[in-house]
Amino acid sequence: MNGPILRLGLRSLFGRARAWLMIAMPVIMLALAAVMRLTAGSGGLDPNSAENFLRIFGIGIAVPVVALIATTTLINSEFDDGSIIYLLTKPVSRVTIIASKAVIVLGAGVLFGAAMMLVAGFIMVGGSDQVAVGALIGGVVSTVAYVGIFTALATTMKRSVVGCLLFWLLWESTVSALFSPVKWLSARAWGNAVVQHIADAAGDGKPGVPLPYAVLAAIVALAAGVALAGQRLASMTISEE
Amino acid sequence: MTTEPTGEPPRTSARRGVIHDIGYRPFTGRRQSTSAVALSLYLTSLRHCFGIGRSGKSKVMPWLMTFVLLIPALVLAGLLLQLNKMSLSDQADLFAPLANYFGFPYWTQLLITIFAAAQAPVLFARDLRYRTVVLYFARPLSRTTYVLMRLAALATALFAVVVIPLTIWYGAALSADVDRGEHTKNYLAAVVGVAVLALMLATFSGMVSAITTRSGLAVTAVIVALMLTSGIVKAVQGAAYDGDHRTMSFIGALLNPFSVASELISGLFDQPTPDSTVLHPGPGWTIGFAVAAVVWTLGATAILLERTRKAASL
Repeated sequence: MNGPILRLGLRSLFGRARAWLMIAMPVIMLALAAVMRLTAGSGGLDPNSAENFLRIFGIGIAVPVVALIATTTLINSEFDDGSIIYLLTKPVSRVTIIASKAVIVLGAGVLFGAAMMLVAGFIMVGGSDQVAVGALIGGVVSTVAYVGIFTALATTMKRSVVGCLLFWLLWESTVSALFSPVKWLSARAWGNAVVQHIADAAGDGKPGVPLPYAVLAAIVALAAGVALAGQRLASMTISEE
Repeated sequence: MTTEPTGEPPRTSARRGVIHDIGYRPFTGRRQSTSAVALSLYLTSLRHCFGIGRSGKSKVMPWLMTFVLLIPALVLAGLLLQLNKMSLSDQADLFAPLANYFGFPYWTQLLITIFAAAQAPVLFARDLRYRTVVLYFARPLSRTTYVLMRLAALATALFAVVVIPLTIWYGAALSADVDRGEHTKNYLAAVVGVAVLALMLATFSGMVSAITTRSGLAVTAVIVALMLTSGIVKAVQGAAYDGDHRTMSFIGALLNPFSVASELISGLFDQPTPDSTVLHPGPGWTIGFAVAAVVWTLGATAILLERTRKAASL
């Protein structure tokens, strides 16, 4: 980790209009949660449907979108406009550079994705059935995995913003919904499994993968993603040969 | 605008020594009408939607999406023919999903969205970005007509890539031993729905492209906006279905063009909905969805027109 890079990352993440889109996601989620709570009637909201909502909207949309926006702002656009060179020429290890950026992205994801899922869970069902806690931990697990995957994609692909976007839409949302073995390799499925393991209300169906596997896989994805990105940065030459 | 050739000779005659007259022969032939210019712009734009007349790289995305969209329709058509051969025609529950024509654009909305997102910047962002739009406005074509022709081309392209697979599917259904009346009715309803959907998608993605003017950003913005609202609609409809709140489900459906179009034709033509969580609207809400479709289309068109006018006057 490197202090100045962390500080620069924070400034470029929150210093522009794109940050509002990132903040809009949890706001929409909380608003929908409040609407669901208010329309649920006297019996209160069914924990199963609250858990379903948190998995579909929180892990399916809010977490990847926040991670995507943070990654594209911090990594992809610096590559695209060439300003990454000013960081690369500093006497700082390039793995440290990318790890510091990943930490900022992870922090944004946990703050605007996972923590807001906790709040949304509390708004909908309070502390019952551990839905809110499950949502928090599931959100963190899938944020960890998404940050690793997006970091790797952002540094290795050419048109990386569209690449990350299509990865999310095609692999995580479409392919994993159609072919069930993909659950072993999908950040969304890992997060869903963690929510279903921890919350007592199972929502619809059983968790797809075991809890230790989901947590371990997310950590491996993050470590591998950052290592790959660092390796790619380290092998970048700035001179024209 | 020299649409009248008779206005030309006195100005270009050699008698007056005008400094910029360097002796080239002026055009004295018949000039084409404004509508011919508009038609030509429409055809060029339609060709550009599919990458015809552009580089090989820009042909990849539209044709890939066009062919991938054919796959589910061909599979469904094959299923119809196969079920017919197996003489299972009396199993109505097997055939019911095979008559749900508007389900096709609803299930493949990601592909249609990618097509719209990839092709709208071609028509709306590049001209504004590189200021070539002033060359179009130097012709006897009003700015409104320019925008409307571009929109018509994009809507036609979107309509075509969805309706062609639907028609293949319908053709297979006609040659199988099924309830032709039901299939014809659902097919025609779906064609209307696809037309409404194509208009909404074309105006929305055109508006986003014209506002961002950077094609990479526009592609991302269109995909994110449409997929995000689609996800919100699905979450709201799922929650409303669980809690049995019809009004909440319909209000949620207003947020996305795909759900607006499917609810509209479901109410208008008494169609099956594409998904069990998508509820069937009553007459009141059908009118509501018709209004929503008009607002989606006209609102985006108005913003697009305003934006193009402003960008051109800079």
